[in-house]
Amino acid sequence: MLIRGSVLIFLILRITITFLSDFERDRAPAEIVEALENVNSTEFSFLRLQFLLFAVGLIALNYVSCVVLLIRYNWGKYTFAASVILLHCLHPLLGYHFITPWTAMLESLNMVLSGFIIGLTFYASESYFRSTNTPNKSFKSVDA
Amino acid sequence: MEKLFRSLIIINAVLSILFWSMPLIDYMWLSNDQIYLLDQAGFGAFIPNSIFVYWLTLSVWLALFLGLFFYIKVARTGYVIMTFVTFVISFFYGIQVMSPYEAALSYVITLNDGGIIAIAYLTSIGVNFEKSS
Repeated sequence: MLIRGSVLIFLILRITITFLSDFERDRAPAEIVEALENVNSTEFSFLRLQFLLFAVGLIALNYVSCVVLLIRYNWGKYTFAASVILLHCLHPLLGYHFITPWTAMLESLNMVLSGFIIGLTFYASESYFRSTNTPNKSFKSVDA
Repeated sequence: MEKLFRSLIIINAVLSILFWSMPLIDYMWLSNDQIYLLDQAGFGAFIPNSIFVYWLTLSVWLALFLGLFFYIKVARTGYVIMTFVTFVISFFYGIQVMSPYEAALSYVITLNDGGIIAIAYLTSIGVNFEKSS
């Protein structure tokens, strides 16, 4: 219940942040946007597009892993953790960015929730996931 | 589990000190354009920046980390409250401009916060807090 609730809130927040950041980028002060583009185009142009595409792929993987977690498959927790951690490893390569107050608040909440879900799925979820017994393990238990 | 929990706390404490100290040291390698960009942070803020509050916040976080390290129950509750207070307050600090390294640090710290809360409340570590109270 706790895992499902957290994952659902995470998904809702993720989708809200995606739309909100797009909407607020258009309303941001022109001087900040201009300075940001200036710095990013001169000092972070190296492979930025490739990294951005990789980040989009990771976000897609993140959504998929949320769905997998909701249907209680064990491998969802590995893909979820990997996508969240890799996304943050990419940050130093993506250049400067700004966050508006609403996005900052929701983004922080979303990040804490990601850590919470990782902690929960790895260390406090013995009975949540479906059985991961492989046929080999079943044979062993029958033999025993 | 205890090792993992305490490691997370130590990592978060070290990263927090690093994150809070960034404005003091990053001007050494930043270009003028980058410094100008970072100076734009706080645009439209409701709460003015205060150096005292800035360092007080770090001190409170460090005190909470210390409390968590020694399984003090009040520190656990305080940690959750402080985490949520930070969300709310971040709304009043206006637009945030972050350098790539600051963003990465900030995200790792916040991610760890969630992990620490989950482990402190929902695993066997929770018993240690109950015992200590």
